[in-house]
Amino acid sequence: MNNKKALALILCICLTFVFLAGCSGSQSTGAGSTSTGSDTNNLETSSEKPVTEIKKGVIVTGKAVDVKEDENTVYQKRITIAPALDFTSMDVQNEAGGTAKSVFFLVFNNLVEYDTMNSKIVSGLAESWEQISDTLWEFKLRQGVKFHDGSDFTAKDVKFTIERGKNQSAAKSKFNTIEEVIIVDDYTVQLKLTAPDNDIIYKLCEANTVMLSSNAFATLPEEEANKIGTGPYKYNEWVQGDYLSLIRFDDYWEGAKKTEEIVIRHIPEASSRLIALQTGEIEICIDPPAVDLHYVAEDKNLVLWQIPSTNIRHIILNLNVEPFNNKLVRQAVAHAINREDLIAIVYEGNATPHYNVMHTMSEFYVDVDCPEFNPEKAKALLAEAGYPNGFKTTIYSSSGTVQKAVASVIQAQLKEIGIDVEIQSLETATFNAGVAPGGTYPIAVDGWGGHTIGPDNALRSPFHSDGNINRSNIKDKKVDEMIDAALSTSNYEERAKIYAELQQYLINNCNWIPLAIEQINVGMKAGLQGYELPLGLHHHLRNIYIVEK
Amino acid sequence: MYKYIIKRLLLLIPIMLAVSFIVFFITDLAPGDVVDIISGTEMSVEDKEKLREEMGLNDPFVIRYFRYMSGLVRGDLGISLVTKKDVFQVYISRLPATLKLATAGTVVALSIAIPLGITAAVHQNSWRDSGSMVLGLLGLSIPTFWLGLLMIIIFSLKLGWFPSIGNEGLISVVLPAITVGSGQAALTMRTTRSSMLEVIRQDYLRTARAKGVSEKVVIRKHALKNALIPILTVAGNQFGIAMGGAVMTETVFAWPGIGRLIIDSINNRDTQMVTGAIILTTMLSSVVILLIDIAYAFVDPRIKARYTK
Repeated sequence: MNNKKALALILCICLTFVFLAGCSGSQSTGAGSTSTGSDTNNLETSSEKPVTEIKKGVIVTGKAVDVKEDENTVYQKRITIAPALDFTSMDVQNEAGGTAKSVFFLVFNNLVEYDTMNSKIVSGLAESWEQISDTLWEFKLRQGVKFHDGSDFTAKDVKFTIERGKNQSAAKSKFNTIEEVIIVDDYTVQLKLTAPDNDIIYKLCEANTVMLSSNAFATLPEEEANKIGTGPYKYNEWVQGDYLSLIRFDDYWEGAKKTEEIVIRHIPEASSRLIALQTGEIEICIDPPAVDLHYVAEDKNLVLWQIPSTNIRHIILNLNVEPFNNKLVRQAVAHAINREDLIAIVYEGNATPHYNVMHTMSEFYVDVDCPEFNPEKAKALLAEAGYPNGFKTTIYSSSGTVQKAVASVIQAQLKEIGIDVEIQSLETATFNAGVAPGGTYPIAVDGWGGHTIGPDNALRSPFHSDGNINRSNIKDKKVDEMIDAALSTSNYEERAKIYAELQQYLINNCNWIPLAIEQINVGMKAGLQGYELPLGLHHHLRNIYIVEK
Repeated sequence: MYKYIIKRLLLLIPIMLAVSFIVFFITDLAPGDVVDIISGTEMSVEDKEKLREEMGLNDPFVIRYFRYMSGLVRGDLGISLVTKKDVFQVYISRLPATLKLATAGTVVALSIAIPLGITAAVHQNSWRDSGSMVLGLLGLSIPTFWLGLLMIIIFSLKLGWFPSIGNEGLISVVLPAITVGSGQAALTMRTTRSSMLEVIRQDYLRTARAKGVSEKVVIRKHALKNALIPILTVAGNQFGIAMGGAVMTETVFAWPGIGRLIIDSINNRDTQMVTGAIILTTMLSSVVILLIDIAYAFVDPRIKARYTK
């Protein structure tokens, strides 16, 4: 009898769990999950199919709530955003992290800024600019701009920012072609370059080149001075690993923004991040789990943006390591890769196959002849290279879910042509150390989103002999010459021609095999307005607001 | 008693030395360094080397260790290599959240474990005994990660009773505490059961019953108090472990505790932060264990008598 009772109890417990788990599964796919958010009460809750719209390659699923605004409109005071990566530092000219860079765009302004919605460079703190000669640019600065410490923004701040940045780790590469900053008057500066640099204007749009306050650096400790910008939001409070709070700057030169406080919240676990969006605890969830995107798409209270990222997922073949120093072997690998299968498996179809070293978003992108998927040809090339029975090698990836999955697919695809690949999945620091220029990893799964700082950075960093991330260890004089020539050629057609030739040359070289353009997924409240396309990993959040009533 | 406490506190010094050396050494053995993390794609190979030189990362291990220790003996735990924040300040800012979760988790564990453990012992071999043990086994075997997410889905997403993330007010600790506590409860429950089983067979309990003392009083006053020492030891140790951070729970609930601080710092190769945080956690855990040892004296007069000798 006792045993029966015990059994009954166990069954009851199990059934309770199954019931509870079942409840969670069935309801969350429905139209409207429970939300505690203040703005969701007015939303429709009918169970129509989600509306999908494609704008400039961005798939927007769900419909933003239409709002009517007048002088009596009340806006939600605080908007919370949960990015995938933690905010790590306010050290503007030394910080390389994507989340920090999104914050820099809120706290600071650049001389010129990149309008991601219209893909063009627009005025920032410089009202207008002009290229006077190959090596001289002039910027007319906006007047009446105040820093958060109350000081005025003038030409001396531009000079200070650039001169300081030339010695700081992350800003250095963007300012290194500027020889001198000439102050013409308080609101006019000229940048004298060491050599022609066609990309200088792109570099000035970057998060590490935002304008700092010379007054703050003269009067405050460096740590505090780094928080003083001219941007629409002021640094308020940072609890490391928890949240960063920014409050509205009422004297912002464009006028105060509608949202009083923006909070960047660190929620490391992707599922928890998504649930926090569903419960209304946050308003923007960046990178919800790829397999759970349908929860966002099907929820009438949420909108899903699927944005082609600037990141090109690719594999690197290390020219310093045998047999990848043999071009035939590299070509064989390139012919063995089936991008469609890879995208179906790794990204569940949510990525675009990519065949070039240059991103499609670049103005200099051209269609190139990329080695097509052809296992027979790959085997023949291997035999010709002296490896008729294949060989053994290792593919390295960081421990990210996507990277590991890509490594597995590449392993399977190379197996088909007789290359036996072992996978080594490493945490970020170990991986970065191993793939650094001069490293010994034979194959590595990598990502590159550097074209946002112009075509020169996009190709120089991974392919120039002195490139910061020349991880395939390519030392090709012809490539170096073409990269240098394209940077300094002022004739646009000539430049385009060089870039076109370079793209085909690099693709033929097969040291860097592009696979896919990934997607940035952003889930947000349907009531949220003003979200703009991100540039790389940097989300543009300046104009976001929610109408409360 | 005081002598004993001072002796135990002095013992902390060699422990700290050993801990600092081991942590510093192991972090050093891991391939890659903090420059590989913070440099991103923006720095050239030469600039990375220059930065390593400036940060002193190219110095031999012994020099770096002694440099760290010379700061430590002056009470300076250094500056984080990544965030440039003071290690001690960052640790202190995370401590309240960790203490809150560790305390709440232990309270949850004890409130589940003691009643169920007693029931299991008093009704040995009955369905109540088996039921309690099954619950204990479930608590121990359900992965924290899964339980945490399940609780969030049910109690935050579906029912809307509790916040799903963060540390704001007492209500936010409920779900993380249940997640931490249910794992801890299992071991404490088994300890309670076996400790109680030992005690309830003792002659003095039979005498108490013979004197007509009610069963409730026998169990609560006579049996439980005598069975408490092993329970205290287990619960105390679990509290000490929770102080080091319940990493999984902290990750699922975005709880800003010590565990995540240490894990993030290890991934970032932030030697200063890792070593500092582990030294401070070791100190705190040692103090907790010392307090438990002192608590024995209050539970068991025989131990108190031994201390005062």
